[in-house]
Amino acid sequence: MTKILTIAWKELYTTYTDRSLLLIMIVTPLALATIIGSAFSGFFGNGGDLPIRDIDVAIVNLDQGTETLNNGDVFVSVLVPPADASPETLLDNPLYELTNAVELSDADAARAAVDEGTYPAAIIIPADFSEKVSYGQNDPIQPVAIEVYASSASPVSASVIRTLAESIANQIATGNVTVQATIDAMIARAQTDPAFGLRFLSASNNDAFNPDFTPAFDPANNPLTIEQQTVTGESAITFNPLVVFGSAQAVFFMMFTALGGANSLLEERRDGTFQRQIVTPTPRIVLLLGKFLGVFLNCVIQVAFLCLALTVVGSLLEGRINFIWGNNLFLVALVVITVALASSGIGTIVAALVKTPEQGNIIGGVISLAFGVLGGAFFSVDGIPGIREFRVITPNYWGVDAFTKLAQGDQNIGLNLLVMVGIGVVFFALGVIIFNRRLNV
Amino acid sequence: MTKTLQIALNDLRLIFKDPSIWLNLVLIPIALSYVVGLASGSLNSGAPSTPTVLIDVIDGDNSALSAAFLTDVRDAYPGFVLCPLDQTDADVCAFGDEAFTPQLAQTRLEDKIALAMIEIPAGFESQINAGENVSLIYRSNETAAAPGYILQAVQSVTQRLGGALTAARVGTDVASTFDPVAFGDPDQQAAFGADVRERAAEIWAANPISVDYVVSRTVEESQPSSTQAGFGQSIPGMASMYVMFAIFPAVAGFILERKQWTLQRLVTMPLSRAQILGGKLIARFVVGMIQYTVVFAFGLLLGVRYGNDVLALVLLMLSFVLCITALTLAITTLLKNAAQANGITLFLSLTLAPLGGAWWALEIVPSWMRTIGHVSPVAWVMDGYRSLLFYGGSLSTVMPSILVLLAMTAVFFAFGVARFKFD
Repeated sequence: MTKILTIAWKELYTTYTDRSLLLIMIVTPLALATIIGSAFSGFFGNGGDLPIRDIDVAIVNLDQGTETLNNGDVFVSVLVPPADASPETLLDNPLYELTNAVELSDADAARAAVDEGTYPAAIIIPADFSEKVSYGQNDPIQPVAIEVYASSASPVSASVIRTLAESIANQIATGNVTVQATIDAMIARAQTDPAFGLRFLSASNNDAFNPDFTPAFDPANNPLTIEQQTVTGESAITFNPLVVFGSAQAVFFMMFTALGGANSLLEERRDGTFQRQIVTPTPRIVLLLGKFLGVFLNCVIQVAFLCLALTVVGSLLEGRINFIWGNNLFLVALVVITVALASSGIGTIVAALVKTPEQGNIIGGVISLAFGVLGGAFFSVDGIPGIREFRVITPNYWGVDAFTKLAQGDQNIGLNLLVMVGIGVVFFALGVIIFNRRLNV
Repeated sequence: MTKTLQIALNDLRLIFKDPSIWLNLVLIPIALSYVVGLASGSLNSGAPSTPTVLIDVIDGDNSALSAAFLTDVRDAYPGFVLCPLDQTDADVCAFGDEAFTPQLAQTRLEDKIALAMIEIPAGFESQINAGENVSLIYRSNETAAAPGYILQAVQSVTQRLGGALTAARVGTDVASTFDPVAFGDPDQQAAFGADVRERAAEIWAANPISVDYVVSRTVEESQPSSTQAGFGQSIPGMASMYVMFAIFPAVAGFILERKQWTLQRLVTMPLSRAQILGGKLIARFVVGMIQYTVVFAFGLLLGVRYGNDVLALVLLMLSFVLCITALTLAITTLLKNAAQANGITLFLSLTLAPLGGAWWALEIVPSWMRTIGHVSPVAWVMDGYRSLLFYGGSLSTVMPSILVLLAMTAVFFAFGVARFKFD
């Protein structure tokens, strides 16, 4: 056992005294996760459900209005801050923060500006908008369309603007539909209830009927709401990109460490240093176990360090101390250990099956990259059929999924741990056995 | 010049002698461009990239109102399949042999078979009819990487259904305020409210205000914008990143040659130092251009259109490859061993690429990240590509990008040449 630990310690010592290696193992994934976290930093903080802010949008209000109102002005007033707006006014309306809206007068010019990339989208309100959407005597609501002209180059921003336009349009419609439905219902009632009809007619003729439909234009009066929950049924919490992308990067780079570490045994065999160790009174299995234990510990330390470093980065980005991995340290530690075990197991089997270090480098690189892609190191593949099905063969998927669950307070990670331990133990054992048999001294 | 080209040719022979070059120059960049293109296509389009999107539904009410709500959700996107309501003999819901239960719905959501789950509580219709507020439960796996297009659709439907209910509530209040004696008993009031709601629902059914979402055409009128949005981002992005991966190994190459004394041997030959350095840099420049050509050609096969100005596209490629080649020379002068070189170049490749918008369009990042991103040459070349691919840009519109890249090239080259040592 002492020999195994000594060899493992040598592995750790050589790794953590090599600055170039540390640059790849620690600094690069940390920098990458920080870049990704900053890129999606709109998700941090309360209510940060939109990754972007300050979307440039042009509003063209061609609405001629009716005698009494101009519904198109609602879009302008909601999105374009008044020129003399006080800081309090700007803070009161979150849409002023979401968009940098500009009012233009020419629809074609707005479309051209979208085509040229000046704006991701333009909202164009037609001239007959109020006329059609407003209810008048013998003039019921008629369908009308507003246009959101979007740039294909900025689909995310354009999609946000589309949602925004739909939301405002729906609220205008709710108010006007309420007006028409109510007046129509009262007229219908007047026709069947003569006493009511007389009072209604009289009030209408004397301008005594001044109903207040304002509440219908207020979204807070919608009786139907959506309660967003997490997968496990808890109240939705703010998505933290550092957890998902940070853990994905940590596992991705750890896979390089595992494969590279195991591959170094082939290099030692090629250079003859491993043969030198074999001639010492040390069983081969002890040498192998020591070597692979070192690789495993390297992986554990790497991921644990990255988890801590990402916590610091997350706290700095959020402006408060926040342990981003959830509150169950024991389970977090178990995930770190099992994902390291699974990765070093894969490293061991690859080193056992290839013939030369060069082969190991090539195959190891391909495996690391493929697993990284499937595990979401660059992008989530959840929405890609034909590819997403293969996620489950990677420890990256199980590890990142476990980290994400724990960060969201879901401690149901038994399957994740089981799969990772299974991968680790089976491949590790097979790798050691095969390598031991294939040793050619 | 001939000698310079001979050195370049010799280096190219050595580079292409290594079988792994085909993996790094062709297979991996192409595979990554494809996967990232698919992923960013679904990220960018704001709509599902898959033909069918499974949404599990637990309808605890089974009422006419809940059915009407679900019909509206189904109609929101053609690809939405509500399970188990839309289950077919062909098992479109992917239940297999299992019966649908709330537990199965939970498992399917966790396993990401269903992308969202909607739960309608028991008493939904009666509560609504009683004028009470009701919450629908919506669970999903949607994250930053999977935008809320399902939620967007559900919210829109909820807003519309809620619109009729709002009309009933506000309409009844208005009528009561106008004529307090009008409703002699609660039944009359309820009947009036129901009448308002029915009328409101009829008006809503005619879609009083719709939003025409018109996506500007890309440079090629026939090009589906979803393809261009996904691969139009991933092809130039991944190609630019892999240009760095293709050229940066020259740093370690220079250091190894120095260590093995082959560089010093060359100096003893009747060759000027400029010829030696030029030959080696030309070799890496050519590899960079081959890398661009490979990935862009793959993009063409996928249907990506690169704009109408070929000259502008080629000049952008040339200026970026030149810039990275010059940066390689500059870095070489700062490092001492191959291990350092490998670490630093990997670090640079993997940070400059996302920082500059090679992994995602810079439009989705905060403005301060956009500003910082432009320290990376990748940001400038991506600005140019986006102009050509999405906005019908020309040489004049991408000229600022080209000039910045050439300016960076000049600085890196001057720095590198001034500091480069052959021994």
